[in-house]
Amino acid sequence: MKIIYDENGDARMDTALTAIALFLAAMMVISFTSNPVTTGTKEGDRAPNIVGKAYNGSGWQDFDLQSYYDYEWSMGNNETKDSQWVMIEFMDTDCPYCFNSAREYQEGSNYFTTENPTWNGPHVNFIASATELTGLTGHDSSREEIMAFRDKTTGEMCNASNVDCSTRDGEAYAIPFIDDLDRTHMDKWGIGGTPTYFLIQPDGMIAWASPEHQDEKFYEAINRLVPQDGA
Amino acid sequence: MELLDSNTLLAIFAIPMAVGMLLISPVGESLSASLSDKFPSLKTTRGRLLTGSILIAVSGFIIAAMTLWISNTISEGAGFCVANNVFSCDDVLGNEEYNKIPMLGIRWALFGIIIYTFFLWLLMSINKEPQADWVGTNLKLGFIITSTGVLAIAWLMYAEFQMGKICPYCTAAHIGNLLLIYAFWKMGKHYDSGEWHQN
Repeated sequence: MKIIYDENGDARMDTALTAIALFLAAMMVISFTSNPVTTGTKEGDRAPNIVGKAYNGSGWQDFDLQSYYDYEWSMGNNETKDSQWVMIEFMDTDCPYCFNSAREYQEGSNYFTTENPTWNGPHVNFIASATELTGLTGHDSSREEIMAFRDKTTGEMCNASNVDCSTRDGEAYAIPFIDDLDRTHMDKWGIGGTPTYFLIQPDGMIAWASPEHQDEKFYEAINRLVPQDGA
Repeated sequence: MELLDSNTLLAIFAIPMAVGMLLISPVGESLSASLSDKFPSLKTTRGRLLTGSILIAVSGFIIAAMTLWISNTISEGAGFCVANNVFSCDDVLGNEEYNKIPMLGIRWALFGIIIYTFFLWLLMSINKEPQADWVGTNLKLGFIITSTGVLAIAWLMYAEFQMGKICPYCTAAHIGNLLLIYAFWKMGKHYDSGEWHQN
């Protein structure tokens, strides 16, 4: 009598177990030798990337936040001590607080730079991401308004469309202003209101987030967290 | 990992793929003839194709695992495979816009390991039971899935083009997939001709 049995099923099952074992072994090695960091907007998270257009004074250029990073950077590494930090402000040209605090941010961008002999730390790249908050009276922004706010030029109305953009405090900015009028980046970063500030380490990790430090100003955070010679 | 740079490691991981490629290629016959005394399975066309395919899948599996590891270390802030020239996997794998499967949100690197595990299962099961009645189905399945992978490869190449960067590890994993398309096609042809069962 011929006994029929299914050896084929066993071959597939055996190899499936081997393949699963290989997969699990690889995942274990990866998990033991690396420690992935979440992408998010809390301190210690990797900052979500921002890709888009930014106005730098001469025109709207391609912008990629990751291009500022130095992945070889580490705190205390002398070879990367000149790597640059990033301070980003999420703002709205029609937000009264952003309008009134423009001088602070503009002066900060001129102070925390290697061109300033008074500042003895690495260069901090100041960036602004200009959005258009919805559901608020007078909050209708445009690229022209962003340009006028940045350059302090006349003809556009800022601060809830109440005053000419050129009347804001401080000098004209020399930093890039990202176009986020469609709120893509703001939503991605989970920004609840403007202005919101983030200090990003040269390796792309968020070192300080203003929502977690309501009582600390952005410049105080830079002074506290960015390593300075002799500090 | 600090002892060897990323390119040297990739070259080491790609050795089985290169050997596998030779075995499944037309020159594989003469190569396997010289090795068949040490490795009897290489005496037959079926054995040569299966061995070559498994070597390619093993290499692809290791390289895919490595891309996930690099992906993780990038998120830590480390720069394992970063370069100022066009070949920089950190720039590609660290790009949040492109490093995940659209809509699914799964990282391409993790998907790569899963798919190579599947290829390994297909090939190892065929190798273990080459005369089984499901072998033809497995070969067709392997061919269909590796061919579908071309769409993913095309999308990833488009992403690399957009970034202006090339990820050498990802490219090696893609080459592995392309080689497996050829290998599954060749084994399927061999199977359909009936020669598969003869040797």
